[in-house]
Order: sequence, then structure tokens, then C-alpha cells
Amino acid sequence: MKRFAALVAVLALVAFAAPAFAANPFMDVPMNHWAYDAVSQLASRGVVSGYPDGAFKGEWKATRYEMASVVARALAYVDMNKASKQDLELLKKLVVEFKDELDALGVKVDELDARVADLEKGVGKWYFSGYLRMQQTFGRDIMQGGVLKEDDDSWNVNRFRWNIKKVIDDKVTMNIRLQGGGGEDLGVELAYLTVKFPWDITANIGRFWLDWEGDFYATDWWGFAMDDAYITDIRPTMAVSFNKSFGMGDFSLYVAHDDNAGPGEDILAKGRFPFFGTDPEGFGPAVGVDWALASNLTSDRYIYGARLNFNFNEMFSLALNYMKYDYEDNAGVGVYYTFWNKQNGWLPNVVAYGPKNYFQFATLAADVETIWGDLVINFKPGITLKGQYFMQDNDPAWQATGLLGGGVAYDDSPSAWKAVLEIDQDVLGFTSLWLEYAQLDAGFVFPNGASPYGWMAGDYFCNDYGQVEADTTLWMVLAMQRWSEKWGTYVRYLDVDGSQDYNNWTVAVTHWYTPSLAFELGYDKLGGDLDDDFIWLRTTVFF
Amino acid sequence: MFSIVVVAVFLSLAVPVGAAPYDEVLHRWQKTQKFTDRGDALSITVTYFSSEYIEALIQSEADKNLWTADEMDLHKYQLLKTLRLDDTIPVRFHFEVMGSAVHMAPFGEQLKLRIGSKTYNPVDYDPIFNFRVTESVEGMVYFPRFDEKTGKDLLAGVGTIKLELSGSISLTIKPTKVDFIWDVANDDPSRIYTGQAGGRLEMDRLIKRLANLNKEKQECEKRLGELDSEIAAIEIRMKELQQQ
Repeated sequence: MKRFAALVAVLALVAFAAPAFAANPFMDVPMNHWAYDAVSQLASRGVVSGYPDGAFKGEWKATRYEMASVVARALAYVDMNKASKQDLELLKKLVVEFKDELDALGVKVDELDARVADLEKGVGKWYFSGYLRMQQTFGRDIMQGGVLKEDDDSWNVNRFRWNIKKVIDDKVTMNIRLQGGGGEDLGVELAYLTVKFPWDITANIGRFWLDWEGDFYATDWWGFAMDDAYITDIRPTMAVSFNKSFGMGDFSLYVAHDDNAGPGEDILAKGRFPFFGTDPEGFGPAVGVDWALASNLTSDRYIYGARLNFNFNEMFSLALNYMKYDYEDNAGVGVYYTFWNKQNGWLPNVVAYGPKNYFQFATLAADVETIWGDLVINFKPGITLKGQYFMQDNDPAWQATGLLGGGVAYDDSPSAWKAVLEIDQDVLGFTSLWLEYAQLDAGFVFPNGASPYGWMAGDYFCNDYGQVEADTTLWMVLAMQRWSEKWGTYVRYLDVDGSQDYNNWTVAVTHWYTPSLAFELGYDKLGGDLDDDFIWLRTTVFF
Repeated sequence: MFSIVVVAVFLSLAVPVGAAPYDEVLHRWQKTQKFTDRGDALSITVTYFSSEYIEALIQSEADKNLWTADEMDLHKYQLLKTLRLDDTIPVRFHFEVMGSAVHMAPFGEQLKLRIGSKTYNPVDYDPIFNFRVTESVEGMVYFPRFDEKTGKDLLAGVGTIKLELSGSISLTIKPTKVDFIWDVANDDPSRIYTGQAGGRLEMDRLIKRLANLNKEKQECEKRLGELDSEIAAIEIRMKELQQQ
């Protein structure tokens, strides 16, 4: 029926058109003509919709016009996700063969050529990709409703990702990612435009990740279990970033605004200590104080960043970075004090946190300002030495947290540094190697709210806000082995000497059953001051 | 801890057992960048075909396949012909996807070669990069070797070049772009045009040049014929006018 309709349309067009033909358009295309086979091939591979497999087989003979109309429709329906390079070549060949007839159909062949070129380049197409991951963990200690649940087993759909991409034109590309699983509903994780401006300036606009430290932390095969950046690798946030290249250098700017960032109000710690004197509210002599350190980091915040990177040559590069997490009003950490008085017993909350707080250390705003430098030396092929040095200037609210448990206030300008030696598997033959050593001052803040050394088991030398609780040294070794296309293994060891002394072993074996389906079996153990271990099995399918 | 670092440094400085002397050369011109994103992974290796690399590559293949001198020369000829070093700067891309599929089309607009303060787009590339990549794909990309207007060698006197690939090709890449850098100051492509392969390539170039010159000659002759015809016609007409 479709063929008949196409034929009628073609005949109608022919009736009203009077072009000069190089060949008789009503002449049958000989049955042994390659065009039949070409269209059949496209149909059987699903490239041409509306022309099921076999449409051009059998006894039916097409005229050149009919064949041209098929080509025109093929170009209109072609599906880039199914079309291979060979398919497009076939289409191009068909266009050339039936050029005159396509002209007569009123379709400019030049436009068709351009259409083929566009199809080949992918302009205007929607692209889809992603993965689905299932995970089982066995024997892990977890906190549930404030209660420690030992040796818990858990099976879940750990993550589903659906990436959507469209090249709008030669200057604008749009990327969107929907993500869910692991207890989270499916939602928009990323949505941003990449825009090319004049003068070699590229901008990202929308909700996207920013990571200026990707070369400075180790990950497993996929970055599922990973160390992380100290300051950047900022979670998807509404932002604008600009990058300007000049010679061997780059300059980047980043501005983001995050609504209601932070974990909200929370009791960090509480305790009681003797106090002999008059309480601040004048209720008379007190003999003891109960205190509770609470936080209120739920606030809008801006994040400003700038980066200047320069590659002196292929061996040596240097970068200077600045980033400020700038919280708006009412963010901060405060202290509730309850004075215990002999005569009156327990008094109501005497001192509130925030602006009414009597105590100097409980001020508003928990801004974190960091300047850091990156150094990379590729002193032999496959062998890289890297270093980072961080200097922070933190608001008093962060210093106050040092008073937890009767300690002293943290320094307002803590620093940290790390050195990494990375060796590719190509160099050593059997394994790659990542050796890392770091020192962090007490009070140093990881502004994203977690230790970057969490890997599988979590972090134990930071408080709830990603602040280092005591002067800490740590070192880590990661050795990854890709034995074949099908098999890979890794072993990782972390040793931490900080507010808690502990170590963390991880071993895992990965099997790529097909390039799109991978299984991973792993074991993670915490030792030293901590004691937990568990096994995980992960199944991931990519599309 | 200190002992581990020392061991690692020694390991890194040691030549691996079984490594051929040219392995380091091959590695030097291959730059790899790896990206992971909480479940997605992408590795990009780009190879710059310096004369040093080409020589090491041919030698490595010859050793692996136990080639004779003639076979090695034939391989060199075919390789150099593919590389089009006489008018382009060739690089090879290898994408290895261990995660969500990657769509890079239109690939030619996603990358540029920075030489000094100027950037250059590819003049040609393998269209395979315009198609969905789910596992691994590799192919050639060619950048211009000579300035379009002046004909000057773009690499003359240049110390370092940078290949910039847009980060928008994949969500796994979080920076705006990815850079691959090579020091090319001592690279001299002319030094590999030696021996039989060099001679054959020169012959190919001369044949091509001869064909172009013949084509130009035919066009000139055609034009000359047209002019002769017009002159003859004018002369005939002038004679006719003189006789009137």
C-alpha cells in the first residue's frame, strides 16, 4: 500500500513536472541492478523504516522513479543509531545513481547530499546511552535509624543512568543525564549546554560536574569506588564555567549557585562539664553546663573558582587554583549551652546558637576559601610524579568545631599536601601502581562534605561536614592489573593516622562477560581502630 | 612507607624485563588520558607520528614478524603512504569505552591542533569516529602540515604542540577539554624518506605531480586552441571586412 501511495505521488509529480531527463524515468530498474540489494540491505538492518525486509525481493520491478522515491524516504527515515558507515555509503551511492529522478521529484540532490553529510556528522540527532547496575553486599555494618545493624546483607538496583545528547549545531551541544537507584528516585542529574564562543572561549551552562583535580586521585576501573578531589569534583550544581585557551595555557572561571546546600540542622556532639560561676543569664551560681554543638549548614551558597594552568612542555605542567564556597546568612555552626544550677535545677536553653550566641567561636557563615597549586612531572613515558599543596582560610564557624569534646579551636588557615607517583601497567608489565602520601592539618575542610578517601568503606577521620578532626597523615597504594580483555583485578591499601588510626584493604576481580556486561566481586576490610568487613557483587550492563 | 616509595621509584626507573629498546620511544609518542565517572570509564590514547616513532614502529613490527629488509621496506612504504606526511600532520586516536556508549559526531569539530597561538581543524579523519562507540575504536586524523596561504611548514621552529579535544564528547569527561601535548622540536619527517621506500614514495609524488602538470598542460593547450581558433576567426573576419 505504501509502495502504491509512493507510486501515485511520484506519478503526480511527474505529470506536473517537465524536466529534461537523461534516462527514461519509467524504465524499469533491471532486476539484477545493485540498487535492489542495497535497499534490501538497509531495510533488513532496520536503517530504513517503512520498508521491511524483503520489500524489494521477489518478482516486483521498480521504475527508476519508484526507486528514487525509496531513496528519498530512506534519507528521511534513516536512523543514525542503526546506520553504520557502510549503510551511509550505500545511501550516498543510491543518491548519486538516482540523481536525475530525485531532481525531478523536486528534491534537491545537493540538499540530500548535505543531509547525508549531516547525518554522518550527527548534527541534529538525539543520542542515548547509559548503564544499569545491580549490587549485592554481604555482612556490612550499617547505621539504620540511629541503630548499628551488624553484618547486614543488602540487594538493590544500585544505579540507573540514562544519558541524552543532542548536537544542536556546530557551536552548541546539549547533554542531559537522568539518574536514579540506590534509594534515589530517577531525576535530572545533569543538564547543560556546551557553547563555543569566539576567541577560543568555551562555556558550560547549566547543571554539571566540575573537576579540576581528576589527575590527582585514584579510582577503580569505573570510578565507582574511588578516592576523590579535595576541593573540586563539585556535585552537579547550576553553574556557568568559561575556559579560554592561550598557547600552552588555559584559564578557567567557574561560578555556581546552590540552593539550600548542606545537610541541614543537626546535633554534632554533646557533653557536660563542671562550671563554677554565674551563668550568663544571671540565674545565679551554676555548677555545671550541658552543651550541644549543633549545625545549620542549610543555606544558599555561591561557589567561585578560577584556574590558571600552564604546560611548559610535555613533561612539566603547573596550575594555580582558587575556590571559595561562599555561604549566605544563617549558615554556620553554633553551640547550645544549658547551665545546671543548684537552686533551679535544669534551666531552659540559655544560650542559642547563631546571632544570639554569646560565644565568639559560634559565628555565622561557614565559608571555605582555598588556594592550591598542582604540579605534574612526566619524567619518563608512563611514569608521573604529581603534587598538590592546599592553603585554606576558613570562617570561625569551622574553627569552633575543634572544641568538640573539650579540644582547642582549629587553626583558621589549615593546609594540606599530597604527593603521588603513578606508573602505568605498560611500564611494569604486570600492574599499574598508584602511590600516594598526604598530610592534612586538623580543621582542613573538604567542602563537598566527605573524606576523599572513602572508597568502599567510608571515611573515619573527618566529622560530619568533611572536616579533618586531627592532624592526619595517610598513605595509599593502588595496584590495578588488566590481565586480558576479559579479566581485571585490583588491590588497594589505605593507612590513616589521624583522629582514628585505621587501615582499609580492598581487593576486587572484574570479569567483562561481553564488552557491555561486567561482573565484579570484591572484598573490603577496615582494620586498626575500626573493625568491619564485607563482600560485594556488582553487575553492570552498559548501553 | 619510605621503603615502599623507594621500591616504587626503583621499579619505575628499571627497564621492564623483555622490553625492547624502542618500547620507550613508542610510549613517548603515545599519550593516554583516562576518565572515570562513578560507573563510566573512557580511555583516550593519541599517537603523534614523529619520525622517531615511525622508525621505532617499523623496527618493532619487523622484529615481531621476522621481516626481511625488503618486507620491512614494503611495510615502511605502505605506512608512510597511509600517514600522508608530505602534506599532513597525522595522529591516531584510540578510544576505549568501558561504560556508557560514546557519541562524538561531528568528530571533526570536536578537536583542534594548537601550534603556537593558532589552531587548526582536521583536514580529514576517519568517519568511524562519527558513529556510536561502545567498546573500542581507532582511526586516523589528519591536520594540515603547511599554511594554506603562505605554504610555510607549520611545525618549523615550533617546540611544543597541543591537541585539544572537546570535553563535550562524553559526560565521563568533566573538564571542558582534554589536552595531549608533544615536544616536536627535534622531529624531522624528512629523515624517514630514505631507502627504497623513500624512493618509491618520491616516485609516487612525482607521478602525481606529473599527472597534475599534464592536466594543467592539457587545459593550457585547450585554452591555446580556443585562442588560436578565435584568432583565426578574427583574422578571417578582418580579411572579409578588408575585402568589402
